[in-house]
Amino acid sequence: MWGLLDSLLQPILDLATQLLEPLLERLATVGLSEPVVQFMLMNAILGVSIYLTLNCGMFSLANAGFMAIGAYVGAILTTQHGATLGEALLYGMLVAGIIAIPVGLPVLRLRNIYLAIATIGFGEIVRLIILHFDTLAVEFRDSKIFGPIARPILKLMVEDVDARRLEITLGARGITRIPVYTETAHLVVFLLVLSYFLYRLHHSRMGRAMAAIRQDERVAASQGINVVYYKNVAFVMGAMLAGAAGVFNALATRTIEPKAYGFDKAVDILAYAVLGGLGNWLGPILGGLTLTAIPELLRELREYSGVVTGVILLLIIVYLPGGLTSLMIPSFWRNGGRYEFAKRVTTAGVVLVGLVNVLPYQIDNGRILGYEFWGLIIGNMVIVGLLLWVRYTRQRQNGGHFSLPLMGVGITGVVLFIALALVGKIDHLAVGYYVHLIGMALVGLGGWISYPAEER
Amino acid sequence: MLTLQRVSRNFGGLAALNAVDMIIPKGQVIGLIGPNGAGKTTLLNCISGLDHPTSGTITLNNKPIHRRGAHRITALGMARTYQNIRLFNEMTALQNILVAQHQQGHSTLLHSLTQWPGHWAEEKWMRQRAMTLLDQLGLQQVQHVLASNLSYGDQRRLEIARALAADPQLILLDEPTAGMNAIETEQVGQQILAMRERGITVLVVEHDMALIAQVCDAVYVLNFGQILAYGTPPEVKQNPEVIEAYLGKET
Repeated sequence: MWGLLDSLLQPILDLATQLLEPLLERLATVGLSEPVVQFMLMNAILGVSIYLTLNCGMFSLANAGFMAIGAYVGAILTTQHGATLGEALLYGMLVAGIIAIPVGLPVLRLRNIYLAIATIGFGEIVRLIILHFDTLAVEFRDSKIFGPIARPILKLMVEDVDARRLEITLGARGITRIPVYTETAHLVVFLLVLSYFLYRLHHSRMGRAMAAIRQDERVAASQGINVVYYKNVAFVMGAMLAGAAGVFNALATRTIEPKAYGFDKAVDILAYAVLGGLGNWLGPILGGLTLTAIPELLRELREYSGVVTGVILLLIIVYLPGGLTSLMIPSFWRNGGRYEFAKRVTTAGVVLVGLVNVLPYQIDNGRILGYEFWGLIIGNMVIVGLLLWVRYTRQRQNGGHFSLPLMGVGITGVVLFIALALVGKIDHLAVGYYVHLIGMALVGLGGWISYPAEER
Repeated sequence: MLTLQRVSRNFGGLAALNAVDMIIPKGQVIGLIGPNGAGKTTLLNCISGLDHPTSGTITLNNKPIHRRGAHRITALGMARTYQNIRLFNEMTALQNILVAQHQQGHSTLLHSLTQWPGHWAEEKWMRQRAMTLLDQLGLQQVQHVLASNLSYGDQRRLEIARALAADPQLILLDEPTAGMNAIETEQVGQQILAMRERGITVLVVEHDMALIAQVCDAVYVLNFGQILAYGTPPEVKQNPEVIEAYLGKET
């Protein structure tokens, strides 16, 4: 089973590693080294884990606790049993998910701030149990009543159960010398699979039920939706994701200690999701990536970096109350039909333009980018301009208000690029140039399609 | 169809409902009227499972439902609308209907993840069914508009469409024409009659006596949590106790 899965996944991981290499190199030049990128990706997963519960109307802050469970399961399995990353991940997620069931059933009866308090309590309990686990384990082992139950469980964690002192979580010192198995490619592939999962969830019966519960729990119940069931499912899924992030975290940092998974972490996780945006599943991913990257990018400011980070967060809260994703979701994307098609075309265009700008890949030894300087500046300005337009036309119902600027940007982009090539500002015409042109053309086409028929 | 026996609901010391007996026969349109604060909405909440009676029994098709959760009552074939409109505001009209078809669907997350063929068939079927419903209530033009952006009348109509989407045998309408003009009220009346044509039993809470007279087979009058009168609309209109409850006693 493992062998088969391994042989299926390995080529994908290898490919991902290869593709990521140039991107990582480029990110390193702006101060985002590989470990930082890994943390960004882990935090994106954590953002999604809390998003799953928030999306179902539950204000739960238990995710740091589940992350701790995942991290310790992963660390113990790899150090004591020589488990691989895949096994650690599987068991970490399973244990977090299984613990979430008895926690969720009573706690999810609470709402809003009461649920938040209860789940903060859960997080603290987990932290304290881990802190004192070794003493507790001895107590339970030696107790007459719990001994027979505790022994086989402890046997999974430590070789010599009968030793006078047990060393499992090692208290405040934490577990050290954990093998480093987490690679950036693992995280990227995991996040991609997760994105697919979230995308399908949103377009499924279950996803709709969860959204309904968030908007009005009682009405959702009287539409025939089993509120308790779906809330628990969302809670367990969130716990499993947090557990997975914990495993990745433990197997990336060599050392873990309980205080890294306290209340601070719970609040950080909430910030990823809220500042990223709760309207869309991309929000928490974007939030996790950006909020982790900002302090690193500002490292040059040294002692002021914290202040500037705070100011940036404030600006996001004040001017983008819908989170970072509110930049990306124009009104007409929500209006199906022709707008739905226009949306796809525009997205494809933006993605192409974005890819050409971000990924300096090489094909046939020649650079796919036929230009460096001009392309980057213009391409990125186009994307930023688009996003700003979207931001200010968000409230409009009619796609027509948005289609003109889209057409304008697209056509200007195409004309400008052809002109630049003719003048000779672009060094040599490679694949990237044409991809960029096609992308721009698609953006313009998207605008034209969404232009209202009666005004055409 | 629906039977209430000595249903009471107390909020602290206040008896919102006091030993209400009610029978709603299958296939009829029954009205429920009463002055403000008479307990009409509390009664509807108790029937639909959003609230539970302090004492007494409610049975739907001979199954006791007064201790069941709302989603299990819906599964037995009951749907309702709300006096203060409670649509899912972040969803479009179409999505509101799709949510209401929850009980009709069977596909799970696993089906959706694996793109199971049955999942697509079901999605398609659900959408077609939702479109038919929106068509019937004249909402096809606004299917992709967010519920919060719909006009007041459209929101009321969407509530009715959403209730019908659950494919109910019994439908509870809580003041479906509140705030509507005469023409819109007339249309709602037509829709209620159309429901009866299709064999759906209707319990309608309403203040508009003209509408009551137009659609109802019988009317219950509720006052201070008690049934004051029962009869056909003209009978109830003549009833001196009802007149007194609405207009006060002649001195």
